[in-house]
Amino acid sequence: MATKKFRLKIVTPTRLTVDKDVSMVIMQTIDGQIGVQAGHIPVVTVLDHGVLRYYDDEKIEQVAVFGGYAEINQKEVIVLAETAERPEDIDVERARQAKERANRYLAEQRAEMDTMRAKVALRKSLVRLELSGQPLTPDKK
Amino acid sequence: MATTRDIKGRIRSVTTTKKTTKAMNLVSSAKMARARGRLNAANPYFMLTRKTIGDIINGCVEIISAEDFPFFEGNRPLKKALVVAIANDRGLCGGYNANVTKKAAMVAAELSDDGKDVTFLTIGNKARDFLRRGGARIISHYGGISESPTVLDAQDIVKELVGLYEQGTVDEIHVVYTEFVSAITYVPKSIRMLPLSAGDFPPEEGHKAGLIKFEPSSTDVLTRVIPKYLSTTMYETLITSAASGQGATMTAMDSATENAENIIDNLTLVLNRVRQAAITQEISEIVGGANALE
Repeated sequence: MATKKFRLKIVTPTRLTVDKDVSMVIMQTIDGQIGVQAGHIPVVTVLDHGVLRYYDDEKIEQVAVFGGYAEINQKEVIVLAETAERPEDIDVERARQAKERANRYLAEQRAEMDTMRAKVALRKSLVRLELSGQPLTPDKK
Repeated sequence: MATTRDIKGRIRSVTTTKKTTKAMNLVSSAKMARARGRLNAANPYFMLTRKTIGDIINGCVEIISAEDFPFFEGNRPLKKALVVAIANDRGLCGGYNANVTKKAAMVAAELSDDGKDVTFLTIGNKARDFLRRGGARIISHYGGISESPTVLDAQDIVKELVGLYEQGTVDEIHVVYTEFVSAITYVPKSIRMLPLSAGDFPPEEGHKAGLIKFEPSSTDVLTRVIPKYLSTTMYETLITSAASGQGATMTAMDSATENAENIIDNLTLVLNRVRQAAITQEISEIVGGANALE
């Protein structure tokens, strides 16, 4: 049975990343994951850096979304993000280096400002690695 | 009377000027094309942001009062206004900088007629120079970003603006910029960035402002989303100003090249006339001399 579809738009200041009809979207909000299907009540929510999945019939596609928020209304889901990356956009090597660098920073226990920045960097690199399908080694706390 | 050598010298000098203006024309048209590309790429983002923010604000004005959320109008009396003026870093762009600063001065005059205390924040060295000459009080300045502004530049500026607003240094913020219409047309405009009011976002025709749910809560959403919206607006004004600024430079340099061509044509005409006159004179002198010998 084909589920009812709705429009998904993911836009950033540099491009319109996604604009298509999908049957379900799962996104990472700052309060945890939410899944949206057609007919969802109107919601505005703030997104965490994370992987957004959407189902186009049987196909599942993924996009990493950074610094965004989403509006869900009767007709469509609009995701406005600072950056959005598809799996093929991701430089795995760079993400891995960023992750190691961030971990090193955190281990060194610097000033609070640096720690916060390193945590964000770590989070972003983990999202990128997740999206590129790399195995995530458990990170040491 | 000018000698042929003088005129040749002037033709040479105008030709060099023409080469320079021609080169500047090409450079700015390339830069304009780039800025325009970025503007077009960002356009869906700008439009959807405005729509979404409109939905959000219309959906929550009734539940959130200005006392709880200082970015909304009605939080405090508007006594101190800040005008953000965006112009080019350099001249040679026709009336562009003058038009923007004139608009900024007009906006400022209106605000001070309402009894408000007006200060300026300038973006682009020419905006600062022009306004300072007019005796304006400039509290902050950003140079070197007008030509190709980035999202990060916009975020930095908004951070300062929000800081000023939250400290109470300013009560309202207006942005004066130019809207890019086409390569040769731009329109100086002004918008009020802060405080926000639902009136700035009229609901679409036939679109009812339904009840919107906020996750996790309306204040959480607003405190995170509004700064993003302000950055987006700032980026939009910066990028459309950049495109129109380059367009103005391009047009100015194009007409400068054309003027140089006209001057060269006229000078060539004069040169030929002078040369001919000199030859005629020489011939009549020779003839006169020959006649005298007979």
